[in-house]
Amino acid sequence: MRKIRTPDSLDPDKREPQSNPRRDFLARSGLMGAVAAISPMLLASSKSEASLLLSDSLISDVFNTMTLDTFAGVSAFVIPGNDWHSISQGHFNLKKGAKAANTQQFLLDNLDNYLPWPKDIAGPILSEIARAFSNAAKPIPFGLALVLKPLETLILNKLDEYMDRLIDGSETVPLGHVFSLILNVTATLVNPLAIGGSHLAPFSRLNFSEKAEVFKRLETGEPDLSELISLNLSEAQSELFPTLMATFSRTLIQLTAFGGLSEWHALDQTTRELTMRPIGWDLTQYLPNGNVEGWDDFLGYYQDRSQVDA
Amino acid sequence: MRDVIIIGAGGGGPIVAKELAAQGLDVLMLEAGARNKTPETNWKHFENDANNPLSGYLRFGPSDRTKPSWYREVTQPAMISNLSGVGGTTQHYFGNSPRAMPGVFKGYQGNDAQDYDRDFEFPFSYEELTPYYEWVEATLPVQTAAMGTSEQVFFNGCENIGMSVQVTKDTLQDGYRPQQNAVLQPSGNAGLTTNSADLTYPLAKGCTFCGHCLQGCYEPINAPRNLKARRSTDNSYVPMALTADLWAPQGKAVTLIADAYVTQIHTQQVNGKTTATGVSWRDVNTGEVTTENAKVVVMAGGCIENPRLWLNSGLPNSYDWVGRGLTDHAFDFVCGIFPFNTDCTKGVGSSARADFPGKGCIEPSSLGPAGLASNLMMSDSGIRGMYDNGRGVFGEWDGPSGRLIGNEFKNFMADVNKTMGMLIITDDDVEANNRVEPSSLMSDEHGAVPKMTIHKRTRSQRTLDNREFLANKAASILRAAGASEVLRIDIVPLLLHLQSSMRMGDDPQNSVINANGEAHEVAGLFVADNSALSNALGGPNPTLTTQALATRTSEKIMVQYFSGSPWVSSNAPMSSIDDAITQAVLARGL
Repeated sequence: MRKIRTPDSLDPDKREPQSNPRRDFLARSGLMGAVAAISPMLLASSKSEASLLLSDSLISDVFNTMTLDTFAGVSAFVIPGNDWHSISQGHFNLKKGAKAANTQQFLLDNLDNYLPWPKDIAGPILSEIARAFSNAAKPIPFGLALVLKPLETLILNKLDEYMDRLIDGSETVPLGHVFSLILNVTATLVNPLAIGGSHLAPFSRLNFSEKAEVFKRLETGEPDLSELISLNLSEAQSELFPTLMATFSRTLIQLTAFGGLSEWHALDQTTRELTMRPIGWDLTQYLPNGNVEGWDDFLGYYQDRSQVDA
Repeated sequence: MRDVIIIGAGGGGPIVAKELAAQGLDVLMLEAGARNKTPETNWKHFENDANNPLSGYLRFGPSDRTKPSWYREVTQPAMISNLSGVGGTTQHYFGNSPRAMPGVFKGYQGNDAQDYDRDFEFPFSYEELTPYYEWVEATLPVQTAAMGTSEQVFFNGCENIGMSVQVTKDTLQDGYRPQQNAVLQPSGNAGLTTNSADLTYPLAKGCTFCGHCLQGCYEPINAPRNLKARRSTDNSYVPMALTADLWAPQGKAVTLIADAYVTQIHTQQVNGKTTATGVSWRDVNTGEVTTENAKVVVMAGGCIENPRLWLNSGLPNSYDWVGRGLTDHAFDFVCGIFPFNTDCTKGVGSSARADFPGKGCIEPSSLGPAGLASNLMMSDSGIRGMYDNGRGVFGEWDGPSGRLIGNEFKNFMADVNKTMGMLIITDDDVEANNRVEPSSLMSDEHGAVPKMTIHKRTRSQRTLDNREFLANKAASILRAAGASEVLRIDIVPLLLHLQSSMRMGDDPQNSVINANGEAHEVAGLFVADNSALSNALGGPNPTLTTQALATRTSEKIMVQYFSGSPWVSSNAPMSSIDDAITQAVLARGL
């Protein structure tokens, strides 16, 4: 392994040890898994580790990795296929599913760039979720610090700093990240063992029934997530919280179904022409010969009546 | 100073624009969204590209698709499905143009009079509106829908449960029928071939059965804009308004500005009365703010934006009724799967209907796979077999209401052309606690965003009973038509048909505008879109009635403020597909 050169603030030997609750949150959110996935890629890159660690895109990369894996788990839940996320949830089939249609990227793009959610509401709520977990005395069930590699520890430290800024409100998070964090935190409440497993994100480690339970909790508000993790929300935020969670869960399921069966993954966004037949069209036998300007389905007028009087 | 400024170029504003421009008034029409001048170039038949509510070219948002859509706060889960842009929500409507139930008007004497919500009736009679219906029906024009396979399947179901067929435009009893719709009937090769080369204008005229109403109509290819099959206002009234000087003897062309978000209505005191004097709007792209004055201001920004603009402008609201009484037809969605082809993705999205006076309506609603999937997921009853969210209603459908997920969903969608969706359009009551108000939490560059409260589970008992009746009836029709499985989704509020948030009425204590369409509390300020409707019309789709009412309001404006005379009773309407309009459209390069 190459030697890592970092500023003192990122040197694990010169930082105060992080509390288990913060790491607990990072594990529950899926970010720990994302760090583990990204570290080998960083080591294999040609850039110096220090420059990578200092780059603005590092945290974004970590979050995106976590979010895409989470949304792959959602895609497999809504429209399962023959992919690993579907198979591992114990609910799959032999045809391609939403994951093959890259619906996870569709969700990320739309939620981050287009969903006009109130960031001045969603941001503080996310911050509060992070704070609640950071303060909670619920250490993760095994000693993660013992298995962390040096680079992973450095990235986690940077994430810690980022979380501090998030909590004090000086950072905003793209909404795709907000959605996936909420899913993953709820996933670990449904099944605490989802903190570890074959996928990066805790939500994706759940079986099919457990995923349904996550959506049930978010959609019905039972049990109340805000009470469960002792969120300290303002009165206005508390009023809005259950609606936001229910809207969030329905929106995510609805967008997954819509995007998974649409042409999105097969459309060249520049030319707006299809580059392949969309998977959703095959799954639904839609437009078997591609788009047409009309159909030969005119059968006449019912009872031969082509106009009526008042 | 303009004669008239119209805020919004959706389903209602262009009617006032065209009518008053034809009378020679100087009219400015402002639209917050895009003006799609070349749909054949810019639109496609792709579902996500068009209908993604966040990023599609048909959405409620700015014309710049790289920017997020505009936010609206909702106090409970809901799906907002109305559009910005010239043409408004008619850009993706199915063109359905039924008249309202006569029972929702003042003076109704039918035996079923008490089946309606009599507290919030229209302040004039159905007979008074009839000439305006006829005027709009001739202008759009409205015609009897052609029949395809899916309509035939629906009619079979209605016949098999013993329903009567309706052969009039007026709905007087339970019955089923082809839609009266604002879609040009097919002629030439239209509806007879799938060969695109044979479907260009003038080889094909009218509806080509392409099945893409929801993605915006630009068929037949090469047809002049006013001869496109579906009569959304961007294809009908707007071309007439922009060419009024070329076809109306005294006409003056309307000035249309898109990307212009009105943020303020200005008033001053005139003879002790608050009086509208003009508006300010913000250029959505540059941020530049412009102010213009007018003798009359017409609000036509829709049921959500009108109350927002009114209240953000600080206009009087003595009885706290602005934004209240919002109706949404308490939609539901019932869907069947058939052992044979329904070909539901071909033809107009909905060319048939069944009406039940005092209860509401049912219409087949055909969508592409992504759109259908989206509807199937909108349930308020959780996931079937997993959780019911306190609902899970049983009835004529199979199993509990709810959304499908996983393999069950995938299997249901295995052949979209063997499905048929039915939209439940409830005659819902005007209730004061269903409302639009400015958000106290959030604002954007156009002021406090609108906050919508529309209850689903706690509506009036009549509304809830009507919805259940219609869902059961739809399931019965589907089963009688041959469906092997029928699902009820029990959807959350789908905010598509919105009515009555600035309702018309005689009493200022429960309405915003008077019987002429003018605000009770602001002189020179009129409302002329769905929000002006007094109620939910008994269930029929609202666009035609909005357009008839907007025509009537145009006459009131002309008579009251410009010393004109009414014209609907004395003149013959000019059809938007008349050759004179076509020549004007071509001459102006529209």
